[in-house]
Amino acid sequence: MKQHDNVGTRSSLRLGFFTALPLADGGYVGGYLILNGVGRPVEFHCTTPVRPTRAQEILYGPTLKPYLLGEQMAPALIAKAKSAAEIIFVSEWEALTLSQVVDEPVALVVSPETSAAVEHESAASGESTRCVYSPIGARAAGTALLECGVLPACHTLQIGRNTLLVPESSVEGITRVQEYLSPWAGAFDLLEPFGRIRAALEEALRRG
Amino acid sequence: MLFRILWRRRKESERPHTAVANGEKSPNSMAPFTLPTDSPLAMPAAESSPLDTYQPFTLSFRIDPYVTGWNRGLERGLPVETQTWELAGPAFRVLSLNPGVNKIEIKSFFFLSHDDAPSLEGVPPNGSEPSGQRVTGADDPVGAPFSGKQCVTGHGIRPQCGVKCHAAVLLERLAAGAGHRICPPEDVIKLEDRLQYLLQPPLEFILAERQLEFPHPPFPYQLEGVAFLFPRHAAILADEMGLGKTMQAITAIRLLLRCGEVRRVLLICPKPLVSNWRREFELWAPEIPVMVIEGEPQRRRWQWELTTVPVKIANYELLPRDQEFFTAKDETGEPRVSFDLVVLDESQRIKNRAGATSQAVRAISRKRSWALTGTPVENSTDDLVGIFEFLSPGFLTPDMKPHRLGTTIADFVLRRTKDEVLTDLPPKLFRDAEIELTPEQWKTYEMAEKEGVLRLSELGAEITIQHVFELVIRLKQICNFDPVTGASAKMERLEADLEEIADSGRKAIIFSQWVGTLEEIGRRLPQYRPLYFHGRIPPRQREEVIRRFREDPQHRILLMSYGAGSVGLNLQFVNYVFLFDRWWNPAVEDQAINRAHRIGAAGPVIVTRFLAVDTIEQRINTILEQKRALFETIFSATTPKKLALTQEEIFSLFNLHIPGTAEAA
Repeated sequence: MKQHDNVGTRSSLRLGFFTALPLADGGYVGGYLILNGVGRPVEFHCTTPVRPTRAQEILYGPTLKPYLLGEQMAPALIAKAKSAAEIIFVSEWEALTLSQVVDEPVALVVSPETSAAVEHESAASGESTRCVYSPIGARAAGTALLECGVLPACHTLQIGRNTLLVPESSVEGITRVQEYLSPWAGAFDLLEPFGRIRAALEEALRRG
Repeated sequence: MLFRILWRRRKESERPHTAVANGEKSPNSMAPFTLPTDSPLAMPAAESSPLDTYQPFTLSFRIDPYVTGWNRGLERGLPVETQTWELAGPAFRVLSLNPGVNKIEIKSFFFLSHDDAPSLEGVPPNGSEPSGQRVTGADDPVGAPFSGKQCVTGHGIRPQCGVKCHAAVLLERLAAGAGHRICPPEDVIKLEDRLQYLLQPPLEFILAERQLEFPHPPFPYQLEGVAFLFPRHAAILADEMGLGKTMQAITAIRLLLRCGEVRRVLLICPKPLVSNWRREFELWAPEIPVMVIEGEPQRRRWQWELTTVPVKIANYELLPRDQEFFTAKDETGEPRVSFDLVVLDESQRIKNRAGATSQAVRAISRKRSWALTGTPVENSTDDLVGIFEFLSPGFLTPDMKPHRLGTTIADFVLRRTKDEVLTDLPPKLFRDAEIELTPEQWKTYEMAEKEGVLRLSELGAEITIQHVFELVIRLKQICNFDPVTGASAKMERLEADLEEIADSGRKAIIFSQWVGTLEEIGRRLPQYRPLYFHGRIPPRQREEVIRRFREDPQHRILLMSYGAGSVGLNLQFVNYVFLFDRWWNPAVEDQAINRAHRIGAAGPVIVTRFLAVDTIEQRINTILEQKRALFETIFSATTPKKLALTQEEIFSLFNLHIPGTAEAA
């Protein structure tokens, strides 16, 4: 049973960060880091290399990465964690499918390089901005996945210097923790913890 | 035989050729042939419409029965020829693809969470220290070591919290991708331990989050140095003089104390630098209580054994005398005095492994050992081996080849030069002032040299290095001042330069290796209110000398000896340095120059090196320049060689040979 502290103090806040490193031979290793409210690591979970089968490559086609990252690796890592994160940040748009699998709110932290590629479309309701996110170099595939419903429709959210893409299903959850998140995330670069995960994954790969 | 059945449209006027209705026999006895109703050739009965327009008609064949015996044959069925066509193409195969589920193995790591900064429990409150004991930082108005001086907010970081909090600057650097991570050293083996370092936030984040005060934001390379020291149990910070080794060590100590990694730290430095270190702690870690070990033996014993002060400062000279205090064992056989971290400043002081100081330092019980030095290799590779005997005994051996030595120590040593990291530091300009001796000086000099060389030659096989050395010193002193007439070409040049400097409101430091020379210079320059800083000035007065020189505009010049003024003093408000005579070792000269040329330097530092042409000074300078160039090569390649003048080199100054060596060769 995961310990889910009441959100209310900075130290009890738990923030999850998931990212995956591509391997030279086509697979991925994934890492899930849980930080406390002052940015210190609490838990870290990483996968051994996960390589898609040929059948998966054929059948999933352009949806393979969303499937592997968002539906296979990330849920498996999150299931191993003892602490429940108030919010799970991901660094890759394909991992947004995680929001359809887990209960925790999920948000994509948009890097400055790719934030320019975030295209906004006015929602039919007019209440909020519906966002089509397609990173540079994957615009066509991303748009296609969004159109066919593989990736959830997202809203943009700005916290300090950070631009987040939040699937509709996560908006309510993020709003709930935003009060506690803003002072922290407002000052810091939410992309930074992904650098730690990558360094840790590279170290784990080096050490076997 | 094939039959073709013909249909034709019936016309009203048409009549069958023969009356065939209802089986009537034809008149010509021809047997009627009627298609059976179930024949596929018969029109379907249900289709009324075609029946309206088409009617079968009876085919009549004339059959002439011949008596041929064939009748029986006619009763047999008609042969039907059939043709079969195979469908083209291969047979279909069905292939099932099962995407399957990836087997995912997961490794998990759990870390202790330091949610809140630990306090320094056990620090004696104000007034609990013995009479006369100075504990820096104990004057905190709140009393608690870490309270009252931090800008801790309720939650989150408040970058705009004040002039002294540089969180915003650090976070800006971090956002710009210029963060410094604490990387695990190579001797950390376990993956879990390595990940614990790798998963920590960058140093900028930690400093900003902790709201640590600094007099100014640390330079990025300084944070790199802190990140280097922090995780290491054995380390040499070998930055070039003036890059802030003191600040880097203090900040690393501060962080280790605050996160509870260490609780008892001992800093050992040369005696003249004790007050400097105390001052630097006040500047860079104002909340850390510091105790200086000094005074009577009984008092020092108590100080050594006191466990509640996080940082103690001791001087090298004290250690051999106090060895029995810090090596004493308790009833269980454990040392009564032990430290989590021992830091050696100017660690070249222990390069002689057999020396009493080195042995005393190595006898201190400790968990971590750091060494700070701008000259890790002053003379030879043995210097480095001596320092490593303190850091990690047995790790280096004297017989190791230089190249192997370099690769072996790579993870333990961090060295940067100003050229590498301080691209915006004001320049250091060298002027080699070639001085022609006055006629009086030259006469005395020539006479002394001729007599000296003659006497050395007469010594023959009994000549020693000491004999040669005496002559060198005598000649160098004549280059400064003529002992007969007091004439001095260097002095004339110095006076001219100082006039200009004083007019511009600047200050200067003048170095010499002899106190006598410094006093002579001082006597001749009373208008500049000279101050003295050399071995004969009592240590307790030295800090006051520096303070007066810094603050009193009337004191224009500071006369320093290389020995006393070469290490650990910050004189960056000085723009001019004069080397009245030259030291034997370029590293010592560099240290002296770097008193002024360091971080915070107000402007370019102009270094004037006096050199009496055609004298022993020029010959020494030629060798030193070669060695200086060699040092650069040495350290970049980590192939240290001897830097100080060797015996052969000293003999060669007078074209002499060491008895029994060169001559034999």
